[in-house]
Amino acid sequence: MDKAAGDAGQTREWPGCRQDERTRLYHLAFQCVSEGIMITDVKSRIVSVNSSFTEVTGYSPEEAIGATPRLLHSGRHDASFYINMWAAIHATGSWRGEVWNRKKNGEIYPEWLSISSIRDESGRIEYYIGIFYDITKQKSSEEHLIYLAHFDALTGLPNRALFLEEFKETLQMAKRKSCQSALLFIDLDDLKHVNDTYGHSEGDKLLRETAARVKETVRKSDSVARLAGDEFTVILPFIQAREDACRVKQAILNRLDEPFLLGGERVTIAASIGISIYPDHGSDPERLLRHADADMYDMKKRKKGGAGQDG
Amino acid sequence: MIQEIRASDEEVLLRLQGKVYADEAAMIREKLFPFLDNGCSRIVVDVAEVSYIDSSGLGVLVALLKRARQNGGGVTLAGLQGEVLQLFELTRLTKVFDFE
Repeated sequence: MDKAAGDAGQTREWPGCRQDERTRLYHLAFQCVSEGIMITDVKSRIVSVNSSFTEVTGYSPEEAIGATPRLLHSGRHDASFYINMWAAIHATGSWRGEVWNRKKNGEIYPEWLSISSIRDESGRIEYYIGIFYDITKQKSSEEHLIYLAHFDALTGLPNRALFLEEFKETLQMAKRKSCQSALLFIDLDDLKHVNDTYGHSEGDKLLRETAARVKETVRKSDSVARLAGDEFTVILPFIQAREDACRVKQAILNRLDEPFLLGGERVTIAASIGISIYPDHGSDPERLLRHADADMYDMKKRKKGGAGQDG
Repeated sequence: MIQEIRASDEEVLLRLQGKVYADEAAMIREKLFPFLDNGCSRIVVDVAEVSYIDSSGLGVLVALLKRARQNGGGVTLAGLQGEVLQLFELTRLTKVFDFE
C-alpha cells in the first residue's frame, strides 16, 4: 500500500468543518488511538510519536524525536530481516510483520508492525509511518496453545501427538545406527476405582504421582509420555537386549507398587506393563505401540491385580 | 550518493559513491524503478566507490533484483570490495547477486 498524499482527499469530512478544526481532530485521533505510531523522515529520523508509542516503549517524545528506530532494536533480528523489510517497502510501499523490539527499561517484547511510505504530491517519499501494537498477550496465548497441543496439561508429560513424533525420530535414529529400541506401555489397573472411591481430584493426583515416579525411575534420555487416561509410555531409545527393557519394566513396577497417599489413605495400585522391541516387533510407531498394548493386556490377564489398600 | 545513471538499450548502469543510507535508497528506488516498469531487465550497480551501505540501501538493491528478475533479467554488482564486500558476505547477499 503506497499511500499518496492525495489519499487524504478521499476522506469525507463534515461539511463546514474548518481546516484548523480538522487539524485539531486529526491530532486528537493521533494521540488517542491505542496503536503506537512513529513517523520517520526519509533519513530514518523519528519526527513524531503518539501517546501510545510512549506508553508501550517507555520513550517520551523528547527522547524519541531525532533518534532513529534503532533506538528500539532488540538485537533479535539479523541484518537479513531488516534488508527484506526494506526490500518490501521499496518494492510495494509497505511492510507488515512481527518484530521483537526493546523498551526503554530493557524489556524485549513482540509487536505487530505496519510500515507505510508517504509521498508528496510529486511522488517523492517524504515519510514512513510505523503503526504497531504490543502482541505479548497473543504470543503468550499462542505459545500456550502450542504447549497444549503437545503436552498433557495434568502431568506436564508429552501427549500422544508428541510421543508419536518423538518415537518416529527415535526409530529413524535406531535404523541409522542399526541399534535396538524399546517401548514400554504402562496401564494402571484401577484408576476408575480410585475415581469412584476417592473422587476425581485424587484420581488426578494418582496420575500426576504416577508420571513423577515413572520419570524418576527411567534415565533422562528415556522419554515418558501420557497417551490418554491411565496409559503411559516410555521410549528407551537404545537397548543392548530385551533384558534391558525387562529390567526397566520391573523397576517401574516396583516403584509403582509403593503405596500412594490418596484421600488420606495409603493405597496400593497395580499396574501392567507391555513391551515391544524395534526391530523385532515392527519398525513403525503405530505397529510397535499396538504390540506393546497387546503385551500389556496379556500381563493384565495373567495376573489377578486390582486396586488394593493397606494401612 | 548517486554519481551516475546511464541507460542503454540493454541495461541501466547505476554508479554509487560514499555512504548509502535510507534517503539515498529512496532516491535509487525513485530513479531506477521507472526503467524496470518500462521493461528494462538488466541493471549494473557499480559500488567500487561505496564505503558503507545500510539495510535500507541493501533492501533497495534486493527490491531492484526481484523486479528485474520478473522482467527476465537481474542485477549485477561491479567493483565490490573491502568492507562493502564483507557486508554482502555477512548478509549472504553474495549468493543472490551476480558480480563482475
